[in-house]
Amino acid sequence: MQKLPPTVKTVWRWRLFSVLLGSMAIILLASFWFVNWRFWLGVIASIGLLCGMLTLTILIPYNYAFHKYAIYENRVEIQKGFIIKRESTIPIARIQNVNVQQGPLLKSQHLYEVSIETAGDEHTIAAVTKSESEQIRQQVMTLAMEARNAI
Amino acid sequence: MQYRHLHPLSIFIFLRYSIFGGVIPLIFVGGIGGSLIFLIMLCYAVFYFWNFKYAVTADQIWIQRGVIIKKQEHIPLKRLQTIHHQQSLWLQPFKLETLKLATASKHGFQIKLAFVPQSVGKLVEEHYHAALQQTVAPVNETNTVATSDGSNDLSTPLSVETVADYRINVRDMNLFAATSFRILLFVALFPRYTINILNTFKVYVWPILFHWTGHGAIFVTVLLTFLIAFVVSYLSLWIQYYNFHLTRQEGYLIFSHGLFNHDTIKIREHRIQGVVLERNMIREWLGLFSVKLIMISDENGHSIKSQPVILPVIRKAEWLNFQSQFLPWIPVNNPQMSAPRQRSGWLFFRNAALLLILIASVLTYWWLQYWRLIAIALILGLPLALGNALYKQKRTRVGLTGSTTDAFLYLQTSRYLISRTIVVNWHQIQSIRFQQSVWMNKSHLAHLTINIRSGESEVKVEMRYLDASVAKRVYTWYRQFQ
Repeated sequence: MQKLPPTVKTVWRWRLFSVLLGSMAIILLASFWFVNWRFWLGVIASIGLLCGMLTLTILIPYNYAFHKYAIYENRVEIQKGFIIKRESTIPIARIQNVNVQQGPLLKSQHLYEVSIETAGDEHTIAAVTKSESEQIRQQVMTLAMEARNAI
Repeated sequence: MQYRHLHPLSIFIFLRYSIFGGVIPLIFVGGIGGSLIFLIMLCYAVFYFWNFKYAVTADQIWIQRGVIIKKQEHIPLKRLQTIHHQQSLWLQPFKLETLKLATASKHGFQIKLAFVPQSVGKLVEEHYHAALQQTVAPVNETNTVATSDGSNDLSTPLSVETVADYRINVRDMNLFAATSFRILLFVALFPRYTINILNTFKVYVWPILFHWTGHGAIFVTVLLTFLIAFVVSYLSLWIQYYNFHLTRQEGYLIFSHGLFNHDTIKIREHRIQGVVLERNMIREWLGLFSVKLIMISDENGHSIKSQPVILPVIRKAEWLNFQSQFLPWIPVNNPQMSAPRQRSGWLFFRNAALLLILIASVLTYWWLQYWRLIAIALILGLPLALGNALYKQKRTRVGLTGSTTDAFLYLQTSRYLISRTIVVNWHQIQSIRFQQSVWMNKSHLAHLTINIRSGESEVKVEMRYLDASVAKRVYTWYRQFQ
């Protein structure tokens, strides 16, 4: 099974930073309605810092270590997590489409998010390099078409 | 092309749709402005009606609709998968019906022809069968389902003769109507109506009742609420499944039922993705269950509750015979179902209890003055949660009819004292997810989520707290390939 590229951790750290900043700013703005906004500033800052430290030191490395995927001839397997372990198997023949997308954060690290769609559901691989994304897409779509013709 | 318009009564249908969009301005504007908006919507409905044209030819259905942007749709009759005739009681004198047609397209392409003459409905059926009798249909559909008797071959002409016929006997129908959980729906969701009835009761009857029975009048009132709800639910089920009739033609199932709204639905067998056998606690005790189908490209779709029922009630003893006649592709022998684990019963209870305690705490925090009431509700709720957990534990089981990809997977789960067994083939499963936390690893348990294609998306069947080796066996079975 293959791990995600290590640069995805940088993307996640930036994502965390922007989410924290955004939510703290919103709560701070809202807290201007209260009389004692300095107190609230302290509370928000410390909660934000705590969440940030927790995610940075524990969650991001944890997610990285345990997010794996593998593409075989007849199925795609995706594995996530350790404390709560989730393994999914999708037969290639059931795959309708493979979508690749890239937001600004992923773009800064030259990474892509791959989304494998079956009829009505989708499974994502959080980040892969450009060459990997093309390879996955081509491989899966070719195998998918072969499998469908074979049935 | 010789086209037709829908019946003018359909203007009301179009008006209803535009009212849903325009009801807000009506409420706020009111008066002259409101009436003006209503007039505009009426005009639009009339224009839409005038611009809705359709034609049924020997090999296709042609529809043109739209006021500003005109849209044309051509549907080859050969690609139809479902033909649904719906006739309300008040349309019978006009001899009109509503036709809903679905093809195998990925987006569950639905054509709805409201208020067409019944003769048109018959014409569609005739041309449909004629079209199928002709040349070979192209087998390039991406959603072909491999059924165990290989009936996904569309090249063989399908005959119109009835292969099997089934009607429910009155006694079973009575039991079915009397044992539904729908009564709870009427008691809980429509308190307005029961309260109105009770108010009448309170004003006229209560003084007399109190005079006779004293404080027992409260008990009688509660009893009467349930009685009224029971009668309403009983009648509503009888009306919904009145004159239920199921027939099977080669490759099709046709079922019809209903008193005020008569429905006739014809479905293509190879669209069936799975079968659900459903029974609540009372019906299980009586040996009855309902049979539902999970289908591709259907009007409903996301939950098992909303699947079209093919059979509202059948006796357990009759099931084998029925299955061989109507669902011959299901294996005859039921597999050995896995043994439930004691620990899962405790975990179901623990999860429910934690949720109840959380809700109780939040409610107490908000409404501290009602803490006694909340505490009583909690004390009553916990034994119910325990009962539900034990019921659920005994009915969370899986079974496999074989070890190849021809095998069928039987999944039994339960939710709120309604137990369901889902029968699905390897090819009809879209994906499986195996889930296990570190604590579940220690107690050798696992969750399994099976995705089955349904409607435009899918149905997720969650098997929780299964024995880990059983779950692993199913997961490994799914990961094998020919």
